[in-house]
Amino acid sequence: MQEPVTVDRETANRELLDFVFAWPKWFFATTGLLGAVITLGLIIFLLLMIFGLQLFGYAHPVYWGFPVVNFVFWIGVSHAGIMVSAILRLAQAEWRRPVTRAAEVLTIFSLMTAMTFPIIHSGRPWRTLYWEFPYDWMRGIWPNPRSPLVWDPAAIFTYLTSTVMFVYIALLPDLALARDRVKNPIGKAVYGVLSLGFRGTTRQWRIQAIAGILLSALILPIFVSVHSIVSWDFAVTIIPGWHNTVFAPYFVIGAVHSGVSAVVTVMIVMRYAFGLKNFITKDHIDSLARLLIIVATVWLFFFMLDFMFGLYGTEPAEVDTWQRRLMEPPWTAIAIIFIITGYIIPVGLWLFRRVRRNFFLMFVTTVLVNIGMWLERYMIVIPGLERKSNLTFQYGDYLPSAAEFGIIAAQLALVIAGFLVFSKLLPIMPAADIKEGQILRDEIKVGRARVPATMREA
Amino acid sequence: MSARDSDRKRELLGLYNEPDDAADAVSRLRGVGFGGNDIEIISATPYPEGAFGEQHAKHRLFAFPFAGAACGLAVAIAWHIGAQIALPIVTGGKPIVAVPAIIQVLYEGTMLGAVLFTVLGVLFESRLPDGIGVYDDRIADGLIGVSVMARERRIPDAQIALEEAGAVDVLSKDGSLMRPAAASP
Amino acid sequence: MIKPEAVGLSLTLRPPYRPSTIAINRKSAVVVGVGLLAALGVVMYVVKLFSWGDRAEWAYPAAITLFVLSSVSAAPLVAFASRMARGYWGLPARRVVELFALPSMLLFALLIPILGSLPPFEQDGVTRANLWFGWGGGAPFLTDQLAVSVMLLAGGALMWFAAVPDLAGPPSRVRAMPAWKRLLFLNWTGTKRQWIVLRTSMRWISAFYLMMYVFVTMILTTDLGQSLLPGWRSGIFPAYHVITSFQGAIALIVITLFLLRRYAPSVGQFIGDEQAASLGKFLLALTLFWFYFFWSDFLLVWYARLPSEVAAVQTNVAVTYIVPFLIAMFGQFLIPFVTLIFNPIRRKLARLTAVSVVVLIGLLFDRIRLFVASMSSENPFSHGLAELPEPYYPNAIDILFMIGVVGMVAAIYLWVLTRIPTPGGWEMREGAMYRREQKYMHAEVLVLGKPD
Repeated sequence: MQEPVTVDRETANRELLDFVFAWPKWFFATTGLLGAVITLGLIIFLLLMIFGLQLFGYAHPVYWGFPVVNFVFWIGVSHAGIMVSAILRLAQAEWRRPVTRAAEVLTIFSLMTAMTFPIIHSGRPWRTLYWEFPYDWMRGIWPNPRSPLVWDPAAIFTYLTSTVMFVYIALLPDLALARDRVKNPIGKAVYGVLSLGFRGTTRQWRIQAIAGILLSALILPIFVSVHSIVSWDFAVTIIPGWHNTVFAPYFVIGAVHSGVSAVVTVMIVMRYAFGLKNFITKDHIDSLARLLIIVATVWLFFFMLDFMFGLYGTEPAEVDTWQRRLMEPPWTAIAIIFIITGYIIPVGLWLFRRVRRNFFLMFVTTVLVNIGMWLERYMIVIPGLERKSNLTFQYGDYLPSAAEFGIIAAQLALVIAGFLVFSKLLPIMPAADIKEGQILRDEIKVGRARVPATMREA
Repeated sequence: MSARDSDRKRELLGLYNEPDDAADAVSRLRGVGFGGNDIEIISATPYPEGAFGEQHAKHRLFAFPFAGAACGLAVAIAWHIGAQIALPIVTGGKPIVAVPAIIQVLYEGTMLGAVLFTVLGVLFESRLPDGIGVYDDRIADGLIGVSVMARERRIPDAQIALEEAGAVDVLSKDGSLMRPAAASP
Repeated sequence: MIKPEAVGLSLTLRPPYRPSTIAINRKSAVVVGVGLLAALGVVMYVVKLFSWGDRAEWAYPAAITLFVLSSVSAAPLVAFASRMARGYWGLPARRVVELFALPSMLLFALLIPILGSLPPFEQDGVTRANLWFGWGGGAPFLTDQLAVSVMLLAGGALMWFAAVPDLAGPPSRVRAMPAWKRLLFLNWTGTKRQWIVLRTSMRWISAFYLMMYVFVTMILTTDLGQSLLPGWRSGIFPAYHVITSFQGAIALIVITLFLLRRYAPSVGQFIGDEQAASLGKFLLALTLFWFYFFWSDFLLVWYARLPSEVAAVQTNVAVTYIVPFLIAMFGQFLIPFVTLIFNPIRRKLARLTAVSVVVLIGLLFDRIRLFVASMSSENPFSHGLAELPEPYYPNAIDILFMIGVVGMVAAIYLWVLTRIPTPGGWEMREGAMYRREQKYMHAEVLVLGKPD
């Protein structure tokens, strides 16, 4: 049975803005804890500046470790917002309404976090500018745009800017709502400036609707390009296990799998933490889970293409790399865990409606997906480098250090804290969009049955 | 009152509890000769276009991304081809101006231009920033506003039309409450 | 914005709507012409059989066969997508596209001599690259034909299951049927239970068809493509084919809908710009995907500069087959992209049809540049091309063969249109039940029901 969102306007205004105006005790405790973990990350970062990359577990020939894995992982998670928001907007899926904002915000913070990893990875962050930007014009030194390492920042900058703009434009009506509801004069002034005097005229609503579609259509190709370019960081090389033409769509669909799962996780947490039970219903989680079944299966198809066409040419170096990935410890264990948590358990369970409509099980399975997807990235990045070539005179095993784990924890805390602070300052659910859904909701009577329906402009 | 004053337009805002009343107000305003861009509906929620009988909003938003894309592409081409020519070092056996290798950055530049111009277009076509209109915070709670731009001498006609449709309140430009038209001298 | 009068499924659909087959005048010039082309196809097939085992002789037949796979066989998937998305635009189109399952069965016959002409995987102790990894279970001939057969059967079953409620007639008629016929008609009396079973089975068969389609595309494009051209190793190639197949299928459907609207009023009355608006969006998206998949392949080879990969790309993209490649690029990407970004073109069926014709021409040349290059390659057992091959041009028989195949597809489709009611009655009636046009204050709105 479908459960449409049914709350009156007043309740919607109150509940959707409740967290913005209230100061629950858990907020301080949680931000405090997250702050502590972030501080730990900053300390590690500082030590890294002083002692260099020896703090990490790099050993020749592996110099792409956790920072690169995490970079790929968080870029992947950042695909959640646009996938969910833009595609569902274009498809006019009614159930998208409460989901879009959280997904977009997750995109922003995971993207910002992802951007820090190449800087950490470079070991000497202050010199990153040297490689990326034409700072030394006087001596005629310019960056090399033929390098994927220049494509990456270009794509991420475009994606981040576009997403921020997308969120901001969609936020205007809610900023105006916050302006009208807030009692505090400073808050009123700030929301007033941010909302740019949005009043909700017919013209403004019309432009909002078109902007939603137009920006979605523009951001989708950007979203596809970002992870494709990340994949080309690997695939344009001739390193065995990396040089495969399927990498771009394989990375993109993997990112969507990981990102949409993260959205489900976040939605379930929000439902309880922010008291949004009236807005995040079993229908939403069910619909996202159905979407995930398709996404995950397409991802598995691309994984199989990567695997099969890795072996297809029977080139010894490629075969060795796959053998290492699948047959040698500890990679065998990692591969098994990754495929079980990334596909078998979640998709196997999502086939059952009862699971798709169970918040706890959906929380667990979507977290499992992201564990699996992180391991997948780990499996892609490291074994390709671990191979001895004719010029490898020194060989050691890469073992991630405590510092690397510390940085992972800090970055996770950074994403959560960013999300939490955003939710504290701005409505995390698009109030106007949800209320529009209420207006457009209708039903069609067929015999004695009442079928939920939606009005569309003819 | 001078002729110039009576020619100046002033905004009135009628507030309604029900969408039907707001639609009625639009019909009445039309009935007394207001039309075109003089009437605006203000609401905290979008309604289907034309629901209040208001005029369809004309816009040129679709032109903005094209213009932006062209600018973005031009800048990206100049920047990246310029950078390659300015520092002509052969890398990986590729030509100095290696088109396939810079398609990616040209694409990102094009898309960035398109997005930025679209955002500007949204603000322009929404007539934002806007700090001059009549507004009431109760609209956020669900009241629907019908705004009308009337010349000074037509203010009473507008006010009567708004009130007869069942307005909760009628506000003038500075947000002050208008006295009911019937009580006016 | 689509105006109500342009909406295909308008209030003209009032119960009782009775679906009917399309009456075709067998003496009309078009029908006679299609019949002659089909006959030409049969003759050319027989003529070509005399070249059994000569791989290069089957190069152009392979290209047209892959073209059929990439358009005709992919078409029924659009019905699946429309049902999954519960899209109203798809209601009048679903039966139209499902009927392509029948002409798609030509694949089986076409593939027999083509697969039969392939060299063994191992020769003189040298193994050529392949996806079967030395498996001796009859690969590729038996394995590919088995997979194709299963796919075709699934497509046929889907077409039949969807048509049964319209074909069966009243319960008294079904009960009077002999047992085998009753079984064929699923003993259809329209009970609630039967409806549930029918819908569930259609869903599963469609999903199965999709998976089989992807699998068949993967093995056929590898066995007839990459595996024969030395040095060609591209993981994205099967996915490229799947995506371009969806593009070809949409183009084919648009053309079919346009022709039906023009020449078959019983179907045409339900087909309008609503279908164009939706199919146009998909076509635009798939056009962008063409570039994305092509570029993901090309860039890596260009960047890595591995000699064996570069030679393969020079063969089927940059040098040997550059002309068909350019036609494909213009047809599948450039022309549709610059036209379909404009709403007035995308949302009008006639204009969209013109673009779709261009897309199908592009698709045909794409298959030619890919599969003629492979099927005509001299030594598939070497590790890379020592020198670039000369283009392999078609002879008169090849051209007549390709035209004949198109004729056969059209003839079978026309025949099935006269046998199975189009558009489907039960889905149309159901759709009309959940769709209403009404006024909301002053605005005209559509109310669309979404049953659970």
